[in-house]
Amino acid sequence: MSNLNRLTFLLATLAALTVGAADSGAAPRGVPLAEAALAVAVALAIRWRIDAGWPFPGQTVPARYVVALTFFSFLPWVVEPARAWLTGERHPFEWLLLLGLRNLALALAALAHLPICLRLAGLASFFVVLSAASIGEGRALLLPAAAYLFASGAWLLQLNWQGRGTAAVARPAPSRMVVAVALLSLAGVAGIPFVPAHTLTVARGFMPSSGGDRDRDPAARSGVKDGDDIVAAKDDAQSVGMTDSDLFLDSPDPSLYDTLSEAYGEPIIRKQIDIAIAVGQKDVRENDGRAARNQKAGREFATVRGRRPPPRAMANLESEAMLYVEGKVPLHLRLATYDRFDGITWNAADESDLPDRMDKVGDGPWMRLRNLDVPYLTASNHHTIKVARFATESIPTPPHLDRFRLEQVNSADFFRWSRGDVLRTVRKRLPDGTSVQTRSGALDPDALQPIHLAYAEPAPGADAIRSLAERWTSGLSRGWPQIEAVAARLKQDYVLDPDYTAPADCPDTASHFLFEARRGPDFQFASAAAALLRSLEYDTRIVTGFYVRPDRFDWRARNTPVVQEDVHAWAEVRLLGGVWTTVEPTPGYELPAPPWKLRKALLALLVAALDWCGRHSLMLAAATALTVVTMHQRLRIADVLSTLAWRWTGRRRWDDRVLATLRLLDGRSGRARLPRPAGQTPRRWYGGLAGRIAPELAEDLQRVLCWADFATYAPATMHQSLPGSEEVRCTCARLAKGWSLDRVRAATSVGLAGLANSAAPVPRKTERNLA
Amino acid sequence: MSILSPPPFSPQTAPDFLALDRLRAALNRTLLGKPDVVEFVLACLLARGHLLLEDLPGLGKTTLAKGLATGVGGQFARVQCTPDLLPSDLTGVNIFNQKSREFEFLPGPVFTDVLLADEINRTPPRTQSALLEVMAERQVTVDGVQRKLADQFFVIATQNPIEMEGTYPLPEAQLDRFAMKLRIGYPSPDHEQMMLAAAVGDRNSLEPVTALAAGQLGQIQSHVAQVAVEPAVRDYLVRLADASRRHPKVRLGLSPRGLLTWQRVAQAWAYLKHRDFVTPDDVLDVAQPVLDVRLGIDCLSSDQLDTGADPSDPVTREILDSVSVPVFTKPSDAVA
Repeated sequence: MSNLNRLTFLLATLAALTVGAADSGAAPRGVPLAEAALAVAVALAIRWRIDAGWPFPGQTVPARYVVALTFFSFLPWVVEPARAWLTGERHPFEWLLLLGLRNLALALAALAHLPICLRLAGLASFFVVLSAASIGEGRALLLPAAAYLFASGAWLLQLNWQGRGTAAVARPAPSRMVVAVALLSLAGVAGIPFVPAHTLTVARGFMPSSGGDRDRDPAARSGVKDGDDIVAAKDDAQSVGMTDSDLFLDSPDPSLYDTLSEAYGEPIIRKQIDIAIAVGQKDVRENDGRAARNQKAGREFATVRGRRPPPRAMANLESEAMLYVEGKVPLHLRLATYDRFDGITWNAADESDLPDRMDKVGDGPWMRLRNLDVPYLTASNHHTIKVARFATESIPTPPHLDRFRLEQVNSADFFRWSRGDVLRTVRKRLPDGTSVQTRSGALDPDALQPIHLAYAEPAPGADAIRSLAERWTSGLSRGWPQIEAVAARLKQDYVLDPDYTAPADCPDTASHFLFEARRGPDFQFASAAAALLRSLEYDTRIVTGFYVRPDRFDWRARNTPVVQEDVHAWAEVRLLGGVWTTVEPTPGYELPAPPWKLRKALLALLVAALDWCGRHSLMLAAATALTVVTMHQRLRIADVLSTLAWRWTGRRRWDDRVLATLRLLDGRSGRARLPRPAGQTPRRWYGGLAGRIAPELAEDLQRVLCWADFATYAPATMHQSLPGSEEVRCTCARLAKGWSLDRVRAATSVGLAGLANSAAPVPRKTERNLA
Repeated sequence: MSILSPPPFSPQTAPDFLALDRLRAALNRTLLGKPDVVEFVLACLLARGHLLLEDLPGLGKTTLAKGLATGVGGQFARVQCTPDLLPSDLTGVNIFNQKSREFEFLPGPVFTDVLLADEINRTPPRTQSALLEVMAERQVTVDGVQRKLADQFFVIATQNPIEMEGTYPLPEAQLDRFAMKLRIGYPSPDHEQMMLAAAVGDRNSLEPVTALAAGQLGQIQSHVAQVAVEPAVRDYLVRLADASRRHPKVRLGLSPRGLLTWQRVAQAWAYLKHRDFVTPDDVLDVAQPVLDVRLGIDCLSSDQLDTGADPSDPVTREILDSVSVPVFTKPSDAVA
């Protein structure tokens, strides 16, 4: 294979890998990559077979290869039902088109020794990469796409150079051009992160089945039938710019209260049955004015709630985020805290434990809150939180907040502490588009000692909860291990069920959740965790806010949108120094990973590997033994398989049988580590052995070689003088049996080795005339 | 019928093979211990090509040429090429006949069946080029008049590989007219003893004999031209020629005329093997002498010149090894 052919195959391979990396369907990430690798392997096998001796007379593609090429291109449609059954995921139509094009590019690259196939392979692979990079997601596709960029530059250079190089002497391309192309490619790759996200996503519109309202593909992944809505700006006024419609004059931005009610349902107002005593007329005073509203200290959070019935019509799914978070995720953004619980309702925190006044860092606008120079907070996390459409006066902040900055506000008077360590502004609400930058510490659980935790008196009358908590934490040292154990047991043994509602007459929802229902929404998990931890004397509270989900991370925009569904409740325990740290008891929600330590990670990997090996020792031993035996006997196994294939093929005609026999001999020579070179004819290669093997076997070999010449190079009109099929069958069988792998190995050690060392193409050499 | 040892492929060709066997035997008697050289000479003859022998004096070149002329039943002429040899010395000249008061053409030595041009590289290019038309067209043009040569006209030219002084290397156009270049080499001691024994007495027992009937050579040559070359083999030849043009050590790759010659020699080689189709083995068997004469090789080192080693050998091997042989494909599978 020439360099250009190799480059073409590399291009097609990179294109296939890009498609594999870009496929972000429901199947695991490795599945598409494995499929791509399989397609590459098939194309490689075809290429290898062609190199091994499939000839192509002329410069055209034989008809049967055109048929095979077409079938290979349509293979994704053929295997799609089986794939959907195995992985539970269907590919949309455009993706099947892309996979078909991928196969076509690979097949053309396998035939790249034909100039038309070489150019078509380059074109097809380019289109594949362009399409995959446009509609695919995930950072993984950057690597093959960037590699493709480099390789395609080299390919174009080589192609251009070969086109010019009509002279007999082939010269390498000048190095300056290679360097220039490499630098240009590098600049292109480096510029990708700076391209605006919306510019990149424009290319998505080129794919047909997403959007529109005429057809609906159940496998389509986004945008089905929303084209009219986008055009009419029913979903988003910004989608078509300015509009005269009064549809959006009233801002629909939800508040936290709206969000909680939307997520968990409206609180059920209990009928209060009180005993009333009629009072006299003189004690009644008429009030003509408007009743006063109590706006102070009235924030409550009822844990008995009823979910609204689902709307009759299908609601539009809002995709507009409320917040955008840039930085490490997952992340808990606290907005409100509650620390008093009466069994039904959590009440807001006291004003008593507010942090100290904040200071400016230098001239601002960074504000320093407290000194986080404590051993259990190690690294610093930086986040930028942009308020998109969220009506709140509280500033959403991560835990362990160290310092923050709100745009260019450099006055500490602009901020206040709300109840329970929640930062807020003096304004009624944060303006849309406000960015908050924060710096917060990262908790290192290994460094968190029991003395770092704050303790509180347990609530009286919760013996059952206390005994449950002690049972869960028995044997564990005091401190963070116990807290982790409680959260882990809740995650493991209880079911997250957002639709479950505690009975309206339930006196203690935490007990009901823990001992009876064993299922419920996230705030029940948080309540239960807080109750359990309080029973163990840890100072605990409930926090509501947003959970920034890592699976929403937009790798192009480099941020994570926070939508209405991300509202969440969790627990926090207090550490000394007024720091509250997050406890996440709800299944499906995670804490940020602790600071990465190489030694710890390697140790965990080793332990996990040993544990896995211990649990699967029998299977592992069997697999190892099987692998060792297979590797040791791989040549023999391959020989048995090829012999079976030889028996199966070539049954129809004498010439098929003869050629299959020679292929079998070729395979055995290859397995004997001395394959016949492509430039050697079988007669020359095996003829050298005729004198070293049994005479009858040598005679059979000569007969088969003669027949093979006749079958391969004689015109079809001469094939009337056929040898008897029985004679051919017996001779081939004798040769295949006598020319066994062991004999070939023995013969090659003494015979073919010498042949290879002096593989002269002309056996009849005239004597040298030495003066 | 078995195709292991195929008989002549038609009843008409059976006498030809018998005559060829006789000719082969006669030449082997003439040139003792060189059956491979004889086989190449026969292939060159049947392919209607011309032969260049590069060897030392006294190794049997003239004997071989004479034997061949006698074997095919034709005339033999020899020209010793010297620096003062004129083209008209080869082609012939018009002389004025005083009696008839007319010009008469006096034929040169090229008007023969087998011409031995000895030490052809000692004559200047002007005289060498006089052979161009003779070898390619088998005709001579003197004073505007074309004169046909014999149909079986065959040139055996010799040149000395060692003596470089006073020689005029053959131009590429001239070299391309030769079908192949061969070396005879010294015979083995046994064969030299046989040669000496045969020379004792008045009459050499190894004198050549006529093996072919009149006109039989032309008939055999037309049969050779009909030997089948399948598309796969043609494609193989084309790829080999392309590889020769791309090899960095080759100054001048194989020309289309050289490719045609290679195919004709391969046809003749297959015919000599009693086969009526060409295989890649035939192509490879004749590759070395066919390529030797026409590939300009850059790798002539002083060591190679000193030892007389064939400089094109490794290059030819590289060219042949770089092209995959078409195997395991039936003619019905291939679409040209």
